[in-house]
Amino acid sequence: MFPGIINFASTEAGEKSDLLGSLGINVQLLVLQTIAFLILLFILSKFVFPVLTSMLEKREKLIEDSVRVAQDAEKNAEKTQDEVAKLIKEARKEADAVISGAKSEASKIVDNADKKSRERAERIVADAEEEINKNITDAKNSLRQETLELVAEATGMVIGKTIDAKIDKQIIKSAISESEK
Amino acid sequence: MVNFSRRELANYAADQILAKNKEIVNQLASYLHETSRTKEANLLVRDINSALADRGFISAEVSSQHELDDTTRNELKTLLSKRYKTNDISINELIDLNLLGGVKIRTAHEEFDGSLRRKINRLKVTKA
Repeated sequence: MFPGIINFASTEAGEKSDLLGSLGINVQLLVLQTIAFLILLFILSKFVFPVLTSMLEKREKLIEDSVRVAQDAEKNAEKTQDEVAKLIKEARKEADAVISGAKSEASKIVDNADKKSRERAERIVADAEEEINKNITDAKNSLRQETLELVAEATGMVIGKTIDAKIDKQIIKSAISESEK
Repeated sequence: MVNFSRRELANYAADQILAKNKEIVNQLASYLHETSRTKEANLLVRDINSALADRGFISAEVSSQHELDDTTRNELKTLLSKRYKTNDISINELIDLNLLGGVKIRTAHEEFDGSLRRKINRLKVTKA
């Protein structure tokens, strides 16, 4: 096959050699380079291109996979973001509920403490009133007792000076009558 | 020396007093001295009075601020005779200026205080 091509090329080259030669192109060299190029092309297409194609396909598939994974990841990220937002919303809602409950509880505690302190204050006042009343009663009783003792002492002093034998006889008679009853 | 109980001594003394034994007082005093029991003298007198009362002889100690006249003395004897249902009444009169007035009668078994001092003291302790 190559000699035919070379002859054809030589014939064609002979016809146009003057023209190509005037352009500075060596026809034979051109033919040989063409043939070498074709051979190289054949070898490349036979042994190199399939490998390269396979590699490129694998690479393309890998890239597509990566893109798909990235897209999935992006979707997952979006989904996760939505879930996070949802969780944050729920957490905020729960936090609001907890805060509300805490406020309510705190209010109850304050009310309870207020009620207890009011009751305690009332009890203290009642105890103080009771103590004061008791002190007043004790003071009255003490005063009454002291008055009685003073009256008794004064009566004794007066009687001791005023009772003579005659009056004493009447008193003894009265005492005897009293003992007979 | 035999150690008699106070009650035994009182009963013996009461019997001797009723038998008009005037030495009993000296005998008792000697016995108490010998047995180192002179501190029991007052209690023994009280027990003797009690023993005499059990035998129908009432000895009453009557205290007053002024000396009793015969009328009052007889009224007191009548009172004690009725109360103890006996005519053997002996009255031992005492003057106590602290009584202020009235009379205080003490026998072996009981005491009656009809003095003004008691009434005044009752006034002192009267509760509200």
